[in-house]
Formats: sequence, structure tokens, C-alpha cells
Amino acid sequence: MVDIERTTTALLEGLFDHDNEAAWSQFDTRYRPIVIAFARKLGLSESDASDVAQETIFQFLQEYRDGKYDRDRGRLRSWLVGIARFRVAGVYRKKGVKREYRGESAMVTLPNDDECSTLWDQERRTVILQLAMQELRATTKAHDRTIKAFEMVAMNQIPVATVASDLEMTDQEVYLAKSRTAKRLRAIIERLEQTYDDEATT
Amino acid sequence: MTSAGDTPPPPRPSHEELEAIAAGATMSSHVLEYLSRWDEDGSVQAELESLQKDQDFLADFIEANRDRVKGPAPITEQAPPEGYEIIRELDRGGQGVVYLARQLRTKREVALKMIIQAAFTTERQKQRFEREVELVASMKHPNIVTVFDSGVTPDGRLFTAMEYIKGVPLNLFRISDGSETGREPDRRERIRVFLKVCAAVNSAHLRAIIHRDLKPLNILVDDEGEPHVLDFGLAKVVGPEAMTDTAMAATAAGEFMGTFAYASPEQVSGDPELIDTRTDIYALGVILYELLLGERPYELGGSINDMIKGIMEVQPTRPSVLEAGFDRDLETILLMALSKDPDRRFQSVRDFADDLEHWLNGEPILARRDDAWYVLRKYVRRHRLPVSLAAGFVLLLIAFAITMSVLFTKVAIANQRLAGTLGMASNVIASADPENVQRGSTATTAVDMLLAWSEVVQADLGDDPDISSRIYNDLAHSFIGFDRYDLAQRHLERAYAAIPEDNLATSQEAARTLRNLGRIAYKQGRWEKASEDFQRCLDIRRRTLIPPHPDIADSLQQLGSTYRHLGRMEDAEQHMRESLAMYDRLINTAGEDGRGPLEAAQASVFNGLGLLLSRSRPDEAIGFYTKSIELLDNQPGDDDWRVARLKHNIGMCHFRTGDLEAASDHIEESLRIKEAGLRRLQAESQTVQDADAGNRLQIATGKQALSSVLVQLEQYDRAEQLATEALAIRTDVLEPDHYQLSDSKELLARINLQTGRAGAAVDLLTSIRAERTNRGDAPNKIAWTKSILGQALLAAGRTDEAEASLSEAWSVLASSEGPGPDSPQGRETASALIDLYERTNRSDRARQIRNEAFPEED
Repeated sequence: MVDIERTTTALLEGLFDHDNEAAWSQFDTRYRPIVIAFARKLGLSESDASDVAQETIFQFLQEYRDGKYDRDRGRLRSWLVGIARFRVAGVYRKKGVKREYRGESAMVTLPNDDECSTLWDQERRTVILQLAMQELRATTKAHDRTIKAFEMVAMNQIPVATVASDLEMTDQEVYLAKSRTAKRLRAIIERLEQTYDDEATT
Repeated sequence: MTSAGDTPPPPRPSHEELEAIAAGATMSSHVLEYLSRWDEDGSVQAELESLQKDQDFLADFIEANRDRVKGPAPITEQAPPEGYEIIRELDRGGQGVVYLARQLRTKREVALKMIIQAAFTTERQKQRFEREVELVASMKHPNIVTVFDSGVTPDGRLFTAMEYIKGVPLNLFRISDGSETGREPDRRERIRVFLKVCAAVNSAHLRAIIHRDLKPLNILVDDEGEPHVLDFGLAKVVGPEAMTDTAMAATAAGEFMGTFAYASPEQVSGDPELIDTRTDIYALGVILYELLLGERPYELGGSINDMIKGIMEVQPTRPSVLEAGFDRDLETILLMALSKDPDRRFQSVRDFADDLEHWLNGEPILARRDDAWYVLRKYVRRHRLPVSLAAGFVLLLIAFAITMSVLFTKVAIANQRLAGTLGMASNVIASADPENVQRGSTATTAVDMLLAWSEVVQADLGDDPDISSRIYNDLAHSFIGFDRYDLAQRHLERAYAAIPEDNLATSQEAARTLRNLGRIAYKQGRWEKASEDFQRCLDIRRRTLIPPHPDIADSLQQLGSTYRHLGRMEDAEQHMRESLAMYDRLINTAGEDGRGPLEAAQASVFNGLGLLLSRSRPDEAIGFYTKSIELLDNQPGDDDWRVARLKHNIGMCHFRTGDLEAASDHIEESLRIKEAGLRRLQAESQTVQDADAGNRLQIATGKQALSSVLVQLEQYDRAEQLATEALAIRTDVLEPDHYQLSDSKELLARINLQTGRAGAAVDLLTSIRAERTNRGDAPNKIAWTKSILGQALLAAGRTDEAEASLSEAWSVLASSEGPGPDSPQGRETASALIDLYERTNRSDRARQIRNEAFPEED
């Protein structure tokens, strides 16, 4: 499981230490999915997006260790967004040659920086929600009916009555399970947001 | 607003109702009424708001997880693949989590590896994982972790179940000595364990699998001291399959996955095309370095760029700097493995391991310190067979140089460059053409290419005498290398014809042409002609060059060697000594760079003097041979076979002086070097048959000689074994009527005779005598065979036949044409005859022979 507990600031400290493979790999785990999703939103294929993610993470690490990442200058987000956007544009540039050759327009207009940042935040949120789901599952006992009920009702939109009878619960218990779980999820997400938000120390 | 008392309140809205409203259903009138009139404490309102917030949040949440709802669950302790029970987590890496698990069916503990976050698994990660499984499962080696099982869990996660190794990383292993912690391994113990790692990696390499991430953490040493190489997860398949399937070819281009400390320069260059098995050799070099010295070969620090730069540029700290007195050979081996340029490293893990074995056994190592020529020569020589490739490469260089010359015909610089290139080209071709190697089809290809080139030269440069004569000479030199004397001769004639007549007496190209003509004559055994050509060459050089000059020294040596063949021993010695003295002066005044080639040339002169004196003054010859070896030892590159031949010659000199122990020591060492060389060749070349026939013959010569020495030392068992092996090689390689087969059989017959098997000896010798007579061997040789046959017949009690055979032998051997009555053969024959006469009571005849053979005794 991802070490969610560690704040991004702490993680960044760790990246300075060359032997700290753990920091490196955690940083990667934390941000790669966001970059991939971001690049996908900008229209890249799965494999292009995953290449862009690789390049972005690598370039970030390189610049970070070169001391180019200046905390005071802005959020980690805008740094990563900047690199990722540049990399996505690079993919389009390369493809542009082929597009032109086919008689299509070589121009692909990427969203501007603000739009990209918004997009990034959305994707980050998505990733966090996914991580929350994973954490929820990971931290729950396999036979916990609460989660089961939550999944059936909330995720799979199965009617409460059906769920209740399947799980031998009362309707009331099912509702309770759903709201309790939602509450737990909110708490997890809040913590995750903080972990990621810690990246912003402006 | 109506008061609460007017009408009865509607029922409190149910949770279900509120859920529905939160989910977007229209609010019914009674809920509306309740909320507006009866919800005095606001609890229903609060509940609804909370549900609405939940609803919004959950909508987001479901959206975010939509694709994953049915997807694989994250890996946790909760869901092992079917048939496994997780015991605990062992490790977590970039690629996966490793658990200690139990395979329920077999009850055995296994290491279970799973992708860390199935939800985020990209197609590439998945492919990589599958590839890893496939590869590792295909390898069966005691020092590579065994894969028992692999597959996909019902929810789509990939796993492999591997042998669980209870061990410690290679750099931490200890030797158990009964104490709780064990003790530190010593240097040799570390190397022995390391050799097992090499064997494992080599076995993977033979399957075209590169590890790409070798590091001590990936090599676990168990309690028994056995290392196990783990995690071929980054392995890349080399070979045609990977080349065509670009999606699978390696990890994506530019992606760097290794761990920096053990990464090779080509690995951090970002070009996956550059990575091959030699990348693992580099990593093994770093590992061994760390293992032996406790430190890494260089410090890495700073930014990633700094580290990359460090890996590419910082030379390893010499072990002897870290530790005074560190073994020089071991240092050479380490530095060779750590060479920045893959071409300068060991070319296979096996080479690396072999050299470490040599070191452990106290044998000479094969690794050499580097110089500028090393790469090219080594490459060409190691890949002995693709001579055509070498030639092709050389031709490209020549072509380039020619183009330059044609473009700037009148520019001196172009000429200089051409000369330099041609020199290098000859050098490369020469190294592709080691002595005594039978040449096959590849040589033909090279010859064809040279011929094609020759035509280009004729067409384009026909009217430029300076350049064309130089090129013709160079081509001729190459043709000589390939034993194509006809073609060489033709090109030399052209080279000579291209020189203006007025210049013939002073032209260096004319001298060079004469030298090459002399070489051809020499190789063909036309000694008179060779001596004439060499003499004329020497004349030009003496006239035009100021001594001491390497060209004059060279001519003196060539002429001296030729005189030796002509039997003009005094002339030969005089020329060679003059050559030797000239090289001495040259070497004394040469700079560091220029010394190497001069010493190499002088080594040949020492060798020539050794050959010259080996019979008449064997003690002096030994001195010369030894000097030659010393000079070769300082040379870069693989001179093993030359050194081996020199040691053999030294051994033979000792044999002649009667120092049998020294003789057997030297010949044995020579044999070891040759055999190691042959093993190396066989490991590397694909078509061994052609390439190694000559080398094997040299080994046969060594075995034969050693066997002869051992016969004198009365070590008959080993002698017989060696003679039998020599005969086997010769039978395999030579034509059935080759004289060397008779020589080998004769030695065996002698051993038979000495060990009481006279009958067998008689049979063998009778047929050898017939072979020698039919072939027309030298009378001395036939006589010697008759002498041994006579001794065998005598031992077999066939006295009459023995007398006839021995008498015939004696009359030849004791004659003025033969080696003489006091030669070893003469004495032995005489002794046998005397014995025979005494046994048959003919003491007068016995005395007569004794007087002829051992006059001083009377």
C-alpha cells in the first residue's frame, strides 16, 4: 500500500537522498497516476500517457535534485503541470508531422496554464478518490457487512431492500452503513488531500 | 403560518424518503410540510443536508471509481491467489510487493510477488511482469531463484511464486564457523561465491537474458554460502524476437531503471540499444569491487546529471590506491570489468569468471591493461572468425582516407592521414590473422573485398604514383596475411611499377615493396630469393635513413632470420645482434608512447636469436627467449600464444641441457596457456572447427614434448596419457599420412617399450617404419625408428631381427651425415647393440661398438 501518511514535503526531503529509493518510489506512486490521467484528459492514448508520465517524473526528479524547484516560486502542482503539459505538447509535435503528412492540421491547441491547473486538480481529486477507495478496502476486514452494503448500494446502485435481504440486515442498517462509510471515506479523503496539499507551501 | 395545534402533524419523513430526495427525487408535499412546519429542532433538515452532501460526494466518488468498481482490488493481506496463504510481507519495491506465503498444496513456503497496485497497472507494467515470469521460469540454474508457479488471481492480479531464499545480501554474507554470527569471509571466499553468481548470470546470458539490475541486494546468500540471483524483473530479451516486437523490446526507450551505483555508462546514456550482456559485466565489476574493497569504485553524488556524468566519466579508484599492496592482477581484472567502454571490458561473464579462476589458481590472467590499439585488435582477434567484418571495417577506413586524399590530393595533411589509416588498417588485419590458424571461407570473403578495393584503386588513382604504390603495398601486405602470395606478388609488382625509375634507389615505398617481396619468398621457403630482397631493402634503407632507425632494425632482423634458414649462422647472429642493439638505442630514446611497438619488434629479435642458438648454445637461447617474454608481458593485447610458444622453446632448451624438471615445468606451463586460449576461442567462436585447428596442433606439440620429457623422467603413466592425447588431436586435424602422426605413435611405442610391452611396441614400430619409408622421411628419422624397433625386438627376444634393425640404424646414425655416435640417439642405439652382443656372447663386437660410441671409456 502507498505510504499515504508521509506528507509530500517529507517526501520531497527524502528525494534529496540518492539512496532513498523508497522516497523515489513513493513520489512516483503518488504522482504518476495523476500525470497519466492528466495526459489522458489531454487526449493521449494510454501508452503515450504512460510515457509522458515516465518522462515527467524523471524530469522532475532531475530538476528537483538540480535545485531548480524553488518552493517559494509556486506549488509543486504548477511545476509538475508545466512539465507534463510540455511533454504532452511534445507528443503532439511529433504526431503533428504525421498529421500534416496526412493532410490534417498539425495544430493541436492545448488548454492554457490555468485550464491545465484546473484539469490537474480534477485528476488529482480523482486519484485521491481512488486511493481512498483502496485504502477503505485495505483497512477493512473482509467480512465487514458495512462495506459490503456500502458497495452494493452506493457503488452498484442496488436497491436498499435487496441489499438488506441479501446481507440479512434491516433497511435502516443498510442506510446507516452507507452513511457511516461515506463518513469514513470523507475522513480518509480529507487526510489524503492534506498529504497532497502539503505540497503547497507558498 | 398555521400553528402546530391546528392539524395533526404529518409523519416524520423516513430515512428512505430523505435518501430519495437527496438523490434528486421531487420532494412530496408532506415532507415539504413537515420541513416547513414541524421540524422544530431542524434535525430532519440537517439529516437531509447531510444526505445531500453525501450524495454529491458519492456521485464524485462513484465517478472516480467507475472504471475500478469491477476492477481488481488493491493488494492487501486479504486476498492471496488461490492456493496460497500469506504469512507476512517481505519486501516492497517499485514493481511489486513480495510476501512470504505458503503454497497450500505442497505446504512449502514461497516468495509470492504481486504487482503493487493493480488498479494502476499499465499495460506495460503488466507485459513486463508477464515477461519476467516467462523468462525466469525458463531458467533453471542452482544460483537463480526457481519460479514454481505464476498466474492471474480471479480478480485479475498477476503473481509469481518463487523459491523463498533465507539469505542475506551478497555484501553482508558471512561464513558459518559455529559461532552465532559466523565470521567475515576472506578475499578468496568472496571471490568463490562471486564466481557462482557469474555462473548464474552467464547461464542467463546464454539465453539472451540480461539482468540489467544486478546489485548486492538482488543477490542473496543462504546459510550454506550459496548465492541466489533474484529479480530478473528488468531483464530484457535480446535477439531477433525483441528486435521485431518493438512494443516488448526492453523497457521504453530512454527509461532508466537500474540502480545508479551499479549502472553502467551505456545504461545511463538513455539509449536502450546500447545495453547488452556487457552491461551486467559492469555491474558485476562494481559488485566485486565493493565486495573486495568495501567501497564502491567511485563516489556518486549531486544531481542526477552529476551522477550520470560521474558514471560516464569518473574512472574507478585503483584498488591499490585504496589498499596498498592490492594484488596487481586482481586490480587489472577489476579495472577491465569496470571499463567505461563495453568493448574494453571482458566480452563475456565467462571470460571474467575464467580470469578470476586463473587468479585463484595463481595462473597468469588474461586481462591486460589498456592502450589505444587494444580495442580494435582485441575486438578483431576475439571475434576471430568475422575476418571479413574486420576487413570491411578496415576498407571503410581506407575508403574514407582515400576519399580525403582524392579530394585534397596535393595536401600533405591528407597524405599523412592516409598513411596513418593504412598503418592502422594493416595492424587490424594483422590481428585478424593470427599465426597458425587455418583460414576458411571468411578469409576468402576478405580477400574478395580487398580485390574489389584494388580495382577501385586502379580506376581512381592510376595516375597518382605516391598514393597508389602505398596502397598496393598495403593490399599486398594484407594478401600476405591471408596467404594469397599470388595476389600479393601481383600487387607488389604494381607498387614497384608505380614508382618512378629515378626514385627506385631511394624510395621508401620501393624498400617496402622489396621487404614484402622478401616476406613472400620467406613464407614460401625460398630463402635465397628472400635474402636477396631483404638485402636490397636494407641497402635502400641504409642509404636513405639515419641510424638508429626502426626500418633498418627491421631489415636487419628479416635478413638475419633468413640467414638462419640458409644455415649461415654467423651472418644470422651478426645481423640479429646489430638489430638488437639498434632497437636498444631506439627504445632508450623513445617516449612513453613510442616504446611499445619498438619493444614488440625487439621481442621478435630476441625470439629469433633464441631460435638461432637453441641447439648450439641452449643456455644463451633460454636468456633470449626470456627477454622476449618480458617484453611481450609489457605489451597490451593478447600475446598468449606467442608467450606459450616461447615457454615451450625454453622448455625444449632445458631438455637439451638435460634439466628435465625445468623442461617439464616450462612445457607444462606453455600447455596450460595454450589450453586456456583454446577454451576461450571455443567459447567465443561459433565455427570452432576452422579456427582452432592450428591452435589445437600447437597444443598437440606441447603434449608431445612434455610427454618426451616425462619419458626421460620415467613418469610413464602421464607420458602415455599425453602422447595419446597428442595423437588424438593430430589424427583429428591432420591428413592420415602426416609425419607428425608417425612421431606421436613412435613416442607411444617408446613408452610401451619402457613399460614392458615390447610386443605392442614392435607392432607399432613396424608400421611406423613402413610409413616413414613410404613417405621418404629423412634417413636419420627412419634410422631412429629402426633403432627403437631394434630395442623392442631385443626386449621381445627376437634377437636376429633386432640385430639387423639396430645395425642398420647404427650405420646411419653414427655416420658423418647422421647426428653422430655421441648423440643421444647414437648412444642409445649403441647401448642396445652392445647389450645384444653381450647377451649373445659376442664380446668382440660389443667392444668394437663401445669403442666407436664411447671412446673415452677405454
